[in-house]
Amino acid sequence: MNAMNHAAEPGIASLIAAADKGDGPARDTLFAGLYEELHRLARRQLAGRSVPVTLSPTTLIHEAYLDMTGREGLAFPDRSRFMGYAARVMRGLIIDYARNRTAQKRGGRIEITSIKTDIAEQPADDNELLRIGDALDELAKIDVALAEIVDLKFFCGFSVGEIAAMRGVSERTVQRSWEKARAYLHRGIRQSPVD
Amino acid sequence: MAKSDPDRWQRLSRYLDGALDLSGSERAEFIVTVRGQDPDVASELQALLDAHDAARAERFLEDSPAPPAGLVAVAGQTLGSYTLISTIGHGGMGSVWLAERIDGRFQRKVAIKFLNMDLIGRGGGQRFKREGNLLALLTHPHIAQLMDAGVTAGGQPYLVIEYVDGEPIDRYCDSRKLGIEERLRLFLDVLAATSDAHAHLIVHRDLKPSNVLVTADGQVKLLDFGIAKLVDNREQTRAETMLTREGGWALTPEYAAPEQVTGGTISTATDVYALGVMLYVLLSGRHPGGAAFQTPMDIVKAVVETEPRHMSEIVSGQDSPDSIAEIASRRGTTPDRLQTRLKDDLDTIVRKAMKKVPAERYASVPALADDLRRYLRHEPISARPDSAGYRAAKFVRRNRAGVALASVALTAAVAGVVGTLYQARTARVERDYALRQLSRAEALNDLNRFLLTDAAPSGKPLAVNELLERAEQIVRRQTAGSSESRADLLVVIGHQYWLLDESDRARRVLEVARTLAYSTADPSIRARASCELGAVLATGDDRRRGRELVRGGLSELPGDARFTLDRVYCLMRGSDVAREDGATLSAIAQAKVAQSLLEHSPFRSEIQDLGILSDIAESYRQAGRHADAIPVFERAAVILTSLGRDETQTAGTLFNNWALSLDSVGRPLDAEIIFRRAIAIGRVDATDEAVSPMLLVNYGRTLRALGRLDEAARYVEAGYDKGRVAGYEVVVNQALLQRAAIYRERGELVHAATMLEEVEPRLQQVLSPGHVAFAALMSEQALLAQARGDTAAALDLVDRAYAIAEAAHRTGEGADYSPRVLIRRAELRNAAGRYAGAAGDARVALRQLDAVAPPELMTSLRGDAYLALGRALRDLGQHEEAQSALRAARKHLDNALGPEHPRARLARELLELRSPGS
Repeated sequence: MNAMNHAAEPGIASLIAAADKGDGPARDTLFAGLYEELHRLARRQLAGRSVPVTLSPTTLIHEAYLDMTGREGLAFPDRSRFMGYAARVMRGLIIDYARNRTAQKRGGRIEITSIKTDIAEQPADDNELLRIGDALDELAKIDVALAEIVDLKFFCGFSVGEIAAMRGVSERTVQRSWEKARAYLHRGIRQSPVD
Repeated sequence: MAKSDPDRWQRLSRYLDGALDLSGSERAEFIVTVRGQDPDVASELQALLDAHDAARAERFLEDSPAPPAGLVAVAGQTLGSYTLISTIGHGGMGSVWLAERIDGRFQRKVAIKFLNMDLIGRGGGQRFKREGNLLALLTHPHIAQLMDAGVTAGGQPYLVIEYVDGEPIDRYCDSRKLGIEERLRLFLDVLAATSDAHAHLIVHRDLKPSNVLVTADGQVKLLDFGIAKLVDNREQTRAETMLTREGGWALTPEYAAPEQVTGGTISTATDVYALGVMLYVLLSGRHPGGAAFQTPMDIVKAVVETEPRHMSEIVSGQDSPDSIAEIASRRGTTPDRLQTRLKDDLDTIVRKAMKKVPAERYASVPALADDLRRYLRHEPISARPDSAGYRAAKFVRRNRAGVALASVALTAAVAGVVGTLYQARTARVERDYALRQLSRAEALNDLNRFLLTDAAPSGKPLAVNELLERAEQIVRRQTAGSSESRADLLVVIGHQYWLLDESDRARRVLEVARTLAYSTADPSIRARASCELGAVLATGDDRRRGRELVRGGLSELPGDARFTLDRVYCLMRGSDVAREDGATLSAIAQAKVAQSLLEHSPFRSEIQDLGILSDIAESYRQAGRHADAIPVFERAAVILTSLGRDETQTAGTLFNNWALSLDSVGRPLDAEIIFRRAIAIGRVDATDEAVSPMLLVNYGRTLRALGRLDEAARYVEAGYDKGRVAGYEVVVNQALLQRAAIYRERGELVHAATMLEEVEPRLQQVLSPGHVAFAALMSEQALLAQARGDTAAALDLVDRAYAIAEAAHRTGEGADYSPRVLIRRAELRNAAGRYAGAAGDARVALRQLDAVAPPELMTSLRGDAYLALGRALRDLGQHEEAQSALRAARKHLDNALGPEHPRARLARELLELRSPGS
């Protein structure tokens, strides 16, 4: 439990600017805010449904942007930067979910499982998802921009075109970056020791 | 993993750009060029290109992962008596909210912590609530009080915790530049809180500075107490819980004890370890593990193998002088003085708390506190420093792969005995006996743990068999451990095999167990081994030997109270034997003696109650006394739920039997619900693959009683197919009978006849002609004949059915079948115009039903009997009595079958009909 200071709530724009400059606490605050926001929106998406519904990360992220920046007033934050951070948070949410599912399955050394999954199929294997997360963290240490593309494209469902527009580069550049990131991740995952 | 060097990566990245534009031979040439210019990265470049191709071929990362689905909270939302105000952070497990009471009654603000739903497995909600109530009992001034725990309407678990406004203890100490003494005194508060929890048998499992807050006025508060235990009942699995993440989502590894990382036993010693690390950090400003953790393998290695540096080495070591000066100043002293302080006794204390092997640490938190207090008083401490050349033994992970399910009664019995006898100051004999029991308890600890945590709900039968085999092998190979404990284990394993219907294996294991047991002089193990083997034999072919063994086992036991539990055990086995023999009254009697012995013994526990209740219920059920069985099943189910065991294989069997009783007594609506629970337990991944065929057929029978014919057909046929494949004759026969009935009710008379023709010879092959099953068969044949219009044949068949049922009724077997046949006959007689006979049959049926069920119990059997009676009376001209009977019929049928059921509706229609001439 963190006792967080509520006295001065900096605006999203300034938080992003500070975080971009490497301000650790600002980044923590930003992530916390994004996490809260995304959760709230997720709840709205699910409200009133008795059957678990598949969330749309893309919708969530866009809603979050409208919602959070709409409160700002004058100082408009950089949409591209916002999306980058929000995508990172979304990645965390999704991987957490996968990690919890994996933890449930791997109860102890005896592998009798009996998980009733209401969501029918998981396209990406949960274990692999965790390893992707690890590998992405490694990638972020040496090339943040590439890691961000994976967050945006794979975890949040943005298209190559959208990402290109956000960053102000050509689609080809984004595609190429995506391929490099993918190659890095693939190698990282296939190489890492089996848990 | 790739190297973490941004510059290197930039080079690689540019080369990649170049290479990806090319293909085939051009690319190969390019790589050669790179190898000449920049050989360092050339092989990595090749690797990445290969990865790129592979990724594309595999469509790696093409599909986005499934996103989370869960329910979350919103500000202003009401939860119980609290209103959510705002979030105050988020931990690895979910979000935390500040909240206050709605009625403003207490000014106190609280923190409401929502736990991620995915962490709570199936049935976790109940367990969660129960443990939450346990934790709320912790009321120590230095523990943030857990005030409430619950589950929202949407199924999200939450905790209501006292809100603490404070700083993590390490930051608190640093910012106020507290010296060594002051830090130790503060730390003693932490120890007081922890030991209070341990006294309540709660282990924190996640002690670290961020969970130890200090308020502005110097008050220590421990947080998240036992929450790890709340959320994850199982032992921590390995590294996936240990990886650090930005945003603080995951648990940190720095305070994890070796046994947490390797998946060993968590105990109070685990907390001692974490406290040791915390003390190390508070005193020396550095972490004992040294370098930052990276991959999961690093973590395991560091925690499990690497010995920590001496605290004094931190100060004199290779760390930059600036940071050392800073560390010292934060402790109100200089580097040199700090180094002196951190040697000798403090170092010894900290190291002892952090020993890799749990048994080598301080035995308890108070013991650690005592040594710290001695240090503060300048007295000699009790811990001994490591001698020169000492090497910590490598942490050995005991192989628990072969853990098997343990007999409920046995393990509970042992636990109970140990608790009491060990404390008694008695003669040496007593103490030796207690010691043997203790070591027996130790030996059974593994089995206990699996039973008591029961991490996995019932799995496929095959997997459990594998476990038992491995357990068996382990026990056999054990050279350490006494013959008594080995025999004990074998008895338990044998019993499990028996429960799984593996009689041959059970017999084999138990013969060994008995031989081993008789090589000792211990009466309790001799008795148990004999009785267990006897029970298995008696239910197999060698009944006489079996009965003798059970009697012999009981006779081994001396009269005194020490052997009460063994006696109970043997009586229960005796009850099993009696039941198999059909001597149900004796079975019930023995079970009841066992129960009363237990009631008056100090060793009673819920777990034992459960075992005994299940056996009693089963005895009633097999005696046909379903109305008696049902409340006993209910009580057993309640205990199961309160123990959190209601999704285990044991529970599945219990539910099946309970539902069978409900169906037999004539309450199919209730039965249907309980059957579904049983099936849900047996299910593995949304299919019925692992569900027992007998259960499928049973469920089908109930569905048929409810008129849900198509569903019934599906289940019965599934059970039939599985039964055929597995060679379970009983299931196949039952299924055939049910299918016949279903076909008949659907009007497919030819098919129905085929089924009956198939099952008759099968029954004749294995059963004696007077067996109740033939009554069922003929009853069904009668109904079929009736459907074909051949009333005479129908009546004849049902007469014969009744003869069999009556005879069985008199011997006490199948007492529940006679009324059913009578009701059938009443219906057939009504159809044939023989109203007087019909009325007579209906009345007899009702009397027989009244003899075994309380009058207020609404059943379909009573309803059908009243219905037949009502119709007969109406046609006999006795209208008032007819109306009264029909009213009773409607009441019972509405309640037991539901008002929409055809027969319930029929009763209503008949009531409304104007009788002729009135």
